[in-house]
Formats: sequence, C-alpha cells, structure tokens
Amino acid sequence: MKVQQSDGTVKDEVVLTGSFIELGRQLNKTVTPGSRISLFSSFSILRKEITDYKEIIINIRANASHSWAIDIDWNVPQFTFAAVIYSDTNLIDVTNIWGSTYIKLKTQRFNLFLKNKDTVDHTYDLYIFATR
Amino acid sequence: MNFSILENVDGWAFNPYAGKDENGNWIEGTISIDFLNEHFGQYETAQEMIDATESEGLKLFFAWLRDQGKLP
Repeated sequence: MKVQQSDGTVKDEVVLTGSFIELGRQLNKTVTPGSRISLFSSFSILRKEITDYKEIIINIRANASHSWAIDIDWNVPQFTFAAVIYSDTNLIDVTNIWGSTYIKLKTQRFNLFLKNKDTVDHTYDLYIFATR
Repeated sequence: MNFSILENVDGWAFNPYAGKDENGNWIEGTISIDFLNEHFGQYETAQEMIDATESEGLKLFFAWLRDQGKLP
C-alpha cells in the first residue's frame, strides 16, 4: 500500500506487523468547516490507553468523498514517525472506502486533532486500533 | 474583516462550536485564522458571514463573535 510519511515523501509499501486490537470507536462526529477538535478531549479517547501501546492505527471515515477534508496534526517537535496510509487494509471491514484514512503512529508523544479543511460540515467515524 | 485580530495560538482561535457529537452536543475546539480570512475575510459584519455559510457551527460561531463584541 502507498504511504505518505510526515515529511511528505511517499513510500510504495508499508508492512503492518503484529496483531491489532480495537481500542474503541467514535461514530457520527460532525466537525465545523475550518475547525479542529482534539481526539483526546472531544472523543473520549484516553491518552494513557493509547500510550500503553506500541503502534496506533486510527481509521477515519468521512461522510463524503472528500478525503482531504480530514487531517491529523502532530503538534510535538519530537515525533519520530507518522504515516498516512491511503489504501485499505484488512484490519476492518471498510465498506465505504472513499474518505477513509489510516493513521499509523509510532510514537508516544503526540496530540491528535481531527480537522475539517472543507467549507461545509462533514461527519466522521473513527476507529482506533493498537498493537503492543 | 481581518480575523488575525482574534486571540489565537499558532493561527488557531477558540471555537465553542468546532464540532458536534452524535447527541447534538457542541464540542469545543479551535478554528483556523487562515481559513476564516480566506473564506470570510471579504465580509464586514457577522450577519454577512452567517448568510454566506450553510454550516450550523459557523453560523453559531459568527453570532458568538458578535455577542462577544468582536464582530459588528
């Protein structure tokens, strides 16, 4: 699968190793245009829960075919690696692949925000996976 | 209107209507100053901005700014 790394470069392939478990899901969240909300404070995702794991996979599905309406910021200077995986994996049954983005994190120092970069409201479903 | 006058951190201003959960409760967050300037900088009043968007959150945000005295 193609992967865009945090520096903008694209790798042809990434291998997801280990067994993944689902930490939780947050469905049907609407984000106002131009706005962003914290996954930790607004989505009831526990930071400690996430940092207990080695790798985190966050799957975000938008309600429209506007995949670039979603974004993740890594607002910490020391992040070591992050990747946005554009193609589907077999981690979950994705029936509506457009607008779907996988975020793979290999750092325990990060803040996550869901951002709507479009000019109209969008609703998102988030699935959180992790591996030790 | 230049939205850069809003109090902001790294280009993001507080928005009490940044999101909404599945129960209809509004979620606090931030909004991009660049986004506001790009899409609403040509307007002067809150009502003009409200009329220019279909987003419920943005309508409430502009009305909130007006109530705060930050928009005419």
